[in-house]
Amino acid sequence: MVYVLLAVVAICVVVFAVLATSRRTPSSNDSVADFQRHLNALSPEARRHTVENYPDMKSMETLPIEETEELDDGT
Amino acid sequence: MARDLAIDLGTANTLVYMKGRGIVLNEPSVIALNRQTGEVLATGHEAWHMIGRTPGYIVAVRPLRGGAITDFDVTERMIRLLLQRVGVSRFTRPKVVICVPSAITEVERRAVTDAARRAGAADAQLIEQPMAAAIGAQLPIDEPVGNMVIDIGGGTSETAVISLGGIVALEAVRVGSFDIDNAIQNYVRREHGIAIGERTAEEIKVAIGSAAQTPDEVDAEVSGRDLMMGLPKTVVLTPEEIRYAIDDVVSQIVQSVVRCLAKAPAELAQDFLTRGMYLVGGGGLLRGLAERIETETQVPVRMSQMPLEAVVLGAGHCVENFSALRGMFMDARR
Repeated sequence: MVYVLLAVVAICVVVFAVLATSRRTPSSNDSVADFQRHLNALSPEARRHTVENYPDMKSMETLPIEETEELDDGT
Repeated sequence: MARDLAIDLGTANTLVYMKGRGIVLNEPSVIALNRQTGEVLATGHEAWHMIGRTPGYIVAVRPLRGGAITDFDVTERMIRLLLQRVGVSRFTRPKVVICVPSAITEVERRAVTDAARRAGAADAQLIEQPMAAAIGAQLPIDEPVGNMVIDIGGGTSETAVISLGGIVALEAVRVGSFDIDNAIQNYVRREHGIAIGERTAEEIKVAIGSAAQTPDEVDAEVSGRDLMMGLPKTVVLTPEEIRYAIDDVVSQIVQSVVRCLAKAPAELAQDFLTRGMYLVGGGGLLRGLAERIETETQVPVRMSQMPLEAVVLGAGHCVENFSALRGMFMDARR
């Protein structure tokens, strides 16, 4: 009975160690996949949705580019 | 559930993009305060309309100057009110991406993120304005070609070379449209002996200001107060005079573009000749500026289709694809 329990604990420790190690050391493909994901997110196709939200601006009041600071009357 | 936000916290205007909804707010970066109590009376358009029409105890201020926070408390209150207006509350704390000048210092960076977090953001990430502008201007920055963006704002002018989703070369100067207005104001005071406000100076810039000679130029009548007599006086200004008045500021902007071109890798330099440089930001709307840059650099200059909104749209795209574009944020690269 004790041997069975020890075996189960040993298996659990090994599985845990394997999982922990695999998480800490990313495979060499991870950075490549990340970079590809990054580039895909910047593609014109991916950006179309965001730019389509632009027409919301049209209904807004047109603003002057800039204005005065602190009630400057030029004096 | 909080909707994540992108904020273009500009010296002149503040724009807010909400995830899934687009641009939801576009207002001047102005806040009106009661001088005696420190109480906020108005922000944005409302505060802007108060300028010059308030009793002495009310002051309208721009909490950002040169793209940097000059008054932390006022900026925090302004961000807090902006977030409230787009629906952020104590229970809905969104992730926020804020566009900042690339030349921002560590202290300024900390000030912006702290202001956003204290104003109700769960997480505040910063992105350089030229990078955001390139994303928003729909440039092919995912390709291995040189994309050059010139972003001329109210307080800063930045030029960046972008390729394969990252910044390759960058040049920034703390000079922008406000400095052009100030140059006009100083010129009129010095040469014509009359005092004009920044608002009038801006009107002159929009009416007859130019960085290079343009067809159909006309003179403009300007009224101000005679510095000697103290009485109202009207003078006529010519476009040549204004070009002369703003030449120093325009030259600084053009020289920063030249320096950025010099920093760019040779492999990308040839791309600029065929693809050109893209001009964004309100300052880029100055007549003749694109032609002046083109003449001095011998590289074609193209105006973005949405120069005023490109930066916030780019940051908005980062909000829409937060995990994929996390590498874009300034913190991620340090």
